[in-house]
Amino acid sequence: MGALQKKLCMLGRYGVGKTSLVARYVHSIFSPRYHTTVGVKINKKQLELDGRAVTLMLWDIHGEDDQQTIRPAYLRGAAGYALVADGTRRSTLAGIDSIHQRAQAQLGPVPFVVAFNKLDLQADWELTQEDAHSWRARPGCAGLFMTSAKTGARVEDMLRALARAAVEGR
Amino acid sequence: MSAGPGEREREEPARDLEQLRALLLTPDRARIDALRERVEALEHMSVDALSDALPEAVRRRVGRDDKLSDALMTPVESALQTSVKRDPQPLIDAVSPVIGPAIRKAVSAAIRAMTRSLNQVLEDSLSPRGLAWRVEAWRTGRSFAEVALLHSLIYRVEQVFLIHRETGLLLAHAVAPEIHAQDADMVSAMLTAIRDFVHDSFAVGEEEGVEALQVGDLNVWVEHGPALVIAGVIRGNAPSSVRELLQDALAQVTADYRDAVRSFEGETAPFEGCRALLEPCLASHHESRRGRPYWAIGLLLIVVVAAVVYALTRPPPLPPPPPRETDLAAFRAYRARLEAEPGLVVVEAQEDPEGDGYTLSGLRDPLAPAPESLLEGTGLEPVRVHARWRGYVALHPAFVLTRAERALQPPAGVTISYADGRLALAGEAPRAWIDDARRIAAALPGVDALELAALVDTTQRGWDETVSWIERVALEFKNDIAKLSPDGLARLGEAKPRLVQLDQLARALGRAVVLEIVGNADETGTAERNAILRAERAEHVLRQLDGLRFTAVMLSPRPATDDDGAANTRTVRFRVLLADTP
Ligand SMILES: Nc1nc2c(ncn2[C@@H]2O[C@H](COP(=O)(O)OP(=O)(O)OP(=O)(O)O)[C@@H](O)[C@H]2O)c(=O)[nH]1
Ligand SMILES: [Mg+2]
Repeated sequence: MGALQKKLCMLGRYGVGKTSLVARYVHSIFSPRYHTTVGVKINKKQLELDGRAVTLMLWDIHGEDDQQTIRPAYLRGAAGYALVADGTRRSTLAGIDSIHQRAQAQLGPVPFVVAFNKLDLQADWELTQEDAHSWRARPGCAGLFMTSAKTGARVEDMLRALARAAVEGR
Repeated sequence: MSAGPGEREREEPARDLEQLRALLLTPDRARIDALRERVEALEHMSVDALSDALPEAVRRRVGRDDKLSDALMTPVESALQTSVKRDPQPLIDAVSPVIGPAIRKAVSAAIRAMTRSLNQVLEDSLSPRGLAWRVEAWRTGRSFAEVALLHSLIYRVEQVFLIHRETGLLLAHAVAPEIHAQDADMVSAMLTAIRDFVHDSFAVGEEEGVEALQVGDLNVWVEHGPALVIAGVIRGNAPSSVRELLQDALAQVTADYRDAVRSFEGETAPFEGCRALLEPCLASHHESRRGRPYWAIGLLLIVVVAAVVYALTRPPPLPPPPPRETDLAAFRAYRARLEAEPGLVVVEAQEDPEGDGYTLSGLRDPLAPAPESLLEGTGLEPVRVHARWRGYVALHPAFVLTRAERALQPPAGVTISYADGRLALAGEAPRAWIDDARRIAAALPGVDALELAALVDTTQRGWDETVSWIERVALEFKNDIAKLSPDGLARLGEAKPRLVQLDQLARALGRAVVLEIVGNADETGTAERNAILRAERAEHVLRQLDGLRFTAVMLSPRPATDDDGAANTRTVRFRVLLADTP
């Protein structure tokens, strides 16, 4: 202890790869199986930012679907969040828009990153350059990343950027 | 006689009396008048003034001593009694909002505790432990339930977490000694997530978070403050005083760290001092035996029996002690004997005051003779020596050697000797025993080095013999034929047990071995044909060995090369290679 701790949340529609991204980042593993998250799963990651030890408590929150939205209590006290969309399902993009509105309303202007995930599935890719631009331009956005939990591409970059923004955002 | 003078005479004394009274009473009268005025005045002002002064007066008096409370107790009690007798409802209405929730809370807590304890009791009542409790109940005159509950009320607060309520981040953590604490930050976050979940799912009020969780036989008790949460992980059934400890610690931290909490942004360093405030919560209550323990009863019985036996068989009274000088001389002799004996060290020896005997204390190697046995012939009565010996390990060469023999258990054919810290082994022994001896000798006190030069490793010798036997074998073939001749087959039959032995020895020596099966041909016939014959003959022998199971030996057939020697023969030969030495 004595280190800096931050609570960060993974947000998005169901099945976009939130759990997979965390598993890739924390344990360097990937599984093609899909086990939907119920409630919240908490992971811890320790890293160094500019020579400073930082402990991230990553709250991997259940994805939203038409029946259930994210419980506001889970977001409480978060220093930042990652919005995850599935690059092969355009509808998940609208999903993060609505989540983002609610998160900002609850948490105030905390930093966030956006992940367009499943980059390895190039053939089914549905998101465009414009989508990326419009997100990058939003205030508080600490980066937009095309990630793949399967290959590991940019996963670490994405979460490090979020951690850095959360540490500096105070 | 006229009536006049008669009247006068009667009036006279009355007036005199009046005068006398005036004379006597005038000063008092003034006083009485003054008093009357005051009383009247008091009667006037009383109600208003008193109602003003009373509260203050009561307050002061109560602050000074208990007299007022004492005085009021009886009337208040009887007033309450009267009120209840007349109509209890008003009193009930007044008190129930306060007492109702308190009672409900207390009752449900008590029931929870009881069911927990009772479950435990039911589980235990038929076990050996349950039976032991029955005996204890019988022994101590308490009810079984009481004893069982007492034993069930055993607990330990293993960990205390101080959690930042909003973020769920861990601020401080205290762990009882010898407890293996899991990832504390994770536990802290999980607790918060559970609380959030319960909060949302059951729509309870902001201040009524989760108070207790149960995970297996661990209980987690949680106390919430506005900004901080304290959670204690408890094993067993804890009394409610533990919750008070948690509340106290929470209150203390809340007071002491108000600013740090308000400005908390994830930096836990300012909370390092909190641990000390959490530590008092690591309370525990351990099983303690009450009543007379069994061993004490047993001991008492033995003492009583011994006393009876002694009284019945008591020898005749001792003769008077010998004169002091002879006695002392005998003790000195005894002491000298002890000191001369290897493995016995006298640390203290003194004469008891008043000639009661002698007190000795010292160290004794388990291999040394019993100190009492040295008393013989000194003329000193054993009962007059009060000795206390403690064990130690003596490095006397004879002892070191004895210990080595006991520990090593040498097979027949091995002799052990010891001098100057060197333990020497001579003779013949298998490798497994030698390896054990090496390990054991290193742990023997007094043994600094182990000499093995004179010890023959029979496993190694067997290996060398077997290898050289096998490598001398030549299996014969007929000209231009890749099948063994009858002679060759017979020879292979002899070789098979040796090959099996080779495998066993290789295992005993921990070696991986390659057994090359090298095929040869003579130089008649074409070079091509000979090359084929060499390879086929080796393969043929390999197939002949199919039925043998090797675990440390790998078979490797190959045609002979010029380097092999014996090239110009119609044979197959074996070569043993150690796989781990290139
Ligand atoms: N090919 C590919 N598959 C992925 C990737 N990321 C996740 N998946 C798969 O997508 C499915 C859903 O992934 P999860 O990580 O469980 O998704 P989630 O967002 O946590 O889902 P919920 O918990 O239901 O909200 C799984 O079968 C994953 O294996 C990726 O980058 N590439
Ligand atoms: Mg998930």
